[in-house]
Amino acid sequence: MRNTIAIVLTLVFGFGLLWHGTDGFRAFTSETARRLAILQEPKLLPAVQLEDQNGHTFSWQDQRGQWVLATFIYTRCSDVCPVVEMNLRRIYDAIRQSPHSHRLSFLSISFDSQNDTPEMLMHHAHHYGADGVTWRMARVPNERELQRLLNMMGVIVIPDGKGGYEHNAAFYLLDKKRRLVRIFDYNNPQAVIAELNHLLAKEASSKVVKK
Amino acid sequence: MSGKRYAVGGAFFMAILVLPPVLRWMESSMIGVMLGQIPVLVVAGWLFGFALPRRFIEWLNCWNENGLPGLLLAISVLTFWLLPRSVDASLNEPLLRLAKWMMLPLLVGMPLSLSWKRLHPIARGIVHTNAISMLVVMGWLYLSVPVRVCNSYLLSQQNALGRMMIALAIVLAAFWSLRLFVATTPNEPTTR
Amino acid sequence: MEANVRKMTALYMFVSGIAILLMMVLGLLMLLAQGKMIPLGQDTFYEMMTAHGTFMVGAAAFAASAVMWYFLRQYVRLSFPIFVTHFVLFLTGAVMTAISIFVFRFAGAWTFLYPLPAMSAGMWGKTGASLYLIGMLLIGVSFLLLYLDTSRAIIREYGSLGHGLGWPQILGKVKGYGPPPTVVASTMVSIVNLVSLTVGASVLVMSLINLFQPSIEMDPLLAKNLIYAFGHIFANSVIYMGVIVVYEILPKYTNRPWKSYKIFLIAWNMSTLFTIIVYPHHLLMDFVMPKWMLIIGQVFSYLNGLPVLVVTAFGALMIVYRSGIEWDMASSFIFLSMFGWVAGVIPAIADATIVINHVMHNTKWVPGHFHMYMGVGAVSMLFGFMYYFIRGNERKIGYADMVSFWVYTVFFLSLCGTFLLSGKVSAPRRWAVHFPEWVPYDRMGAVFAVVIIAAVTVFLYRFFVSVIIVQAKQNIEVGPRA
Ligand code: HEM
Repeated sequence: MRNTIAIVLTLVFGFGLLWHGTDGFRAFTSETARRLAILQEPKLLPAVQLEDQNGHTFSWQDQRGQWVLATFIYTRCSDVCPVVEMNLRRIYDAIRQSPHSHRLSFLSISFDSQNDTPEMLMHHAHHYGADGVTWRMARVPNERELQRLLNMMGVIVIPDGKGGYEHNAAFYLLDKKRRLVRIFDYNNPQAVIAELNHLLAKEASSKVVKK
Repeated sequence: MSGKRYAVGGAFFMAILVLPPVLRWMESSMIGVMLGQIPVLVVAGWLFGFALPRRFIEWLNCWNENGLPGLLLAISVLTFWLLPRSVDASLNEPLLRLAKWMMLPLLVGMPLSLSWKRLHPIARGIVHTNAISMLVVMGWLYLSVPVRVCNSYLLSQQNALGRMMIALAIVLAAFWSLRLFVATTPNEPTTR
Repeated sequence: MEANVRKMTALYMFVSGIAILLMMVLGLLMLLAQGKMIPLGQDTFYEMMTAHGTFMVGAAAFAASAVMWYFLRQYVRLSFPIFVTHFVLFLTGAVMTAISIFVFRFAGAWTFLYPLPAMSAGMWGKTGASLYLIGMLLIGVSFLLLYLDTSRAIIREYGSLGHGLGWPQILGKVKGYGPPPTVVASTMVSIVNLVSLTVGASVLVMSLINLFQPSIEMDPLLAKNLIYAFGHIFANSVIYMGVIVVYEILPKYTNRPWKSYKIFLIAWNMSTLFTIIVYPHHLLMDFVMPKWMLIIGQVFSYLNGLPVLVVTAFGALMIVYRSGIEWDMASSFIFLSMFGWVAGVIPAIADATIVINHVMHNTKWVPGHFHMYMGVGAVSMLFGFMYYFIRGNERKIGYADMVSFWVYTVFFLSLCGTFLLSGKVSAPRRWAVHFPEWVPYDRMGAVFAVVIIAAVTVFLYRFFVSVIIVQAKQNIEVGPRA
């Protein structure tokens, strides 16, 4: 009898533990967990100084009034980053065609501040057809600030010992209040475009109502 | 008292694990954590199980008559700590690291050592066969998941772990099946 | 206890008998559809084929496991609760599988070949596929339990599985005969099926994961090999379990013991080894080896039972020769089964040569030979066991049964003949719609199937009635429970 009770209790405990540990069997990896958490509770970004491909410095404040779709790359990367940038390009092109083009800007942030000088970034921007205004390439010159930003965004960068980096790739959507509101898979641009159109349209209509 | 000796043994294992060079070395690779650190922590707990006071064991046994509660507890806690998410968390968050170092010995190793002998032979057989097939499945998962499941480790490490797990499954399978063929003393020679 | 065991065994046989009968009806419907005699949508055809394959193999294995259990317990201590659990778990799994096929319209064939479950082109949903896979998993667990128990009991009694296979006698360490043939066969089946079920569990879980996370892909070749390793071993084991009937019944009928002499033991060991070695080896070859080696592997996988077949057929002939055996239903079925087994292997050998001729040409020749092997070989063993089981009331078993037996024999062989002939005119297997030149064979087959179904109905009716009567008699003797 007590044995049976114990079985039931352990089953309940075990189920509870796993349920809790996976947010209700939805998040088995820290990556999905992070996305889920952000979806439920957007996170405020730390203040950082960025430097774009023209050598101009700017910060999130200067983006006021626009949402930002950001991603993290380094220009010498030869495996994921090209895919990420090509997909960002697809989204960029699609949004430019849409009525919301003025509400969103694009930002590729390099985490390799040593090598990715403004010249390199400029070259990179040309390569992917970024106009340097709506889509900018940037780096974070201050090492401490960069680390803080990467930590907060959940970007993990590990040197691979061959001069490159292994890192996780995604698109990060920042809203007007400098909050991280969404993390998207980098390999499904169509879904990102659909979601962006949806979000931006909602935003536009709510503004109309307020007026 | 030999119980004490087991406790010392368990403590010894854990002490080795926390030595900074060992810790760094094990945590620098996924294989080290998944097939080194976690199993050793469980083994330490297994040894602690022998050191518990007899009274306490007897009391526990009332609740653990057929060993199933202990087994289920161990399996669920172990599963929890094998989740990629928990692996990441235990490396990055000190509190969770502490929880892992407490839970793996106390809630996996110890219940296992207290329950294993009490389990019905068939239940033990199921644990064996299931361990093999789940190792294969996990190995396959680590080999074929297209993304990194642990943010702390490289894809190549993940694949290496996958291969290692499959190899381990094969070794375990061979070992267990050999054991079935090695003679124990039969009830009576084959005259029946 | 004894009464409970008999009751449970009867239940096993009855449930599987009904399942086999129903699936034969589905087989008939498939033939009618292929013969263009009834309109059956393609989807429905593949659902039926999935059900037919799954439940035929499942029910035959289920019944055969009961036969093995029933006889093995004379020699080792088996757990009755496990026998009951096996029954309950199996039925639960089978019901889930049936729901997935008939309600959710899963039709990925019993070999659930990856990636079919996940890619149905909208025919069946995730629910259907996952229900099917989980049902199969439950069935697997139920068999796993049973084989763990038999291995445990054999080790307990004989010391190790090696002893169960008679190693000491083969090596000459112990003089005399090995363990009883039933124990040898059960040991072999336990070993190969523990292997196949472990593989099966892995591949089922992998398919489930793939179903829900399509980005996690399985190497299709690996999946195929794993599934075949599981499916072939498991399906083959039906006959190794069923053959226990031969070892148990013939000695009783002839009053001559069936001993495990050395050649017999060696043959069983060879088949065990071949079965286990051939599949992983086969699996490795798929990746690196040229096609002709694949074919050799294929031949081997058909022939791994040959040693057992030879010693059994030879032994059966020897034991019957001039024994004045009485030819009743049970012994007749046993002889039929030996014949079906031998005859089923011959087309398999021919099959291999055909494969060599038109590589990968998957014709109805293949179902032709495994219907012979399963229908005339394995299933006859099961019917033989049923008649042995009820032989207490011989009075009732009479003319109708004997006629049905001959009808079954002749028409099942003819049915297999139509499959083989369709194969010869290159009708592919697993096609819902047949070209006109194949249709006559399908129609002939359909007619034969009707007759077979009638005969099987007689067998099952006899079994059911006899079991009930015996039960009733016992109750009268004991008196109504007050
Ligand atoms: C009256 C008796 C039976 C009839 C009419 C029948 C008919 C059929 C037909 C028409 C097919 C499909 C062939 C094709 O075009 O590929 C088939 C497949 C099959 N049958 Fe039977 N059958 C009978 C008995 C049995 C028995 C007794 C077993 C085994 C115990 C069995 C096992 C199978 C299996 C495993 C398949 C393969 C399914 C697949 O390809 O996925 N059948 N049967």
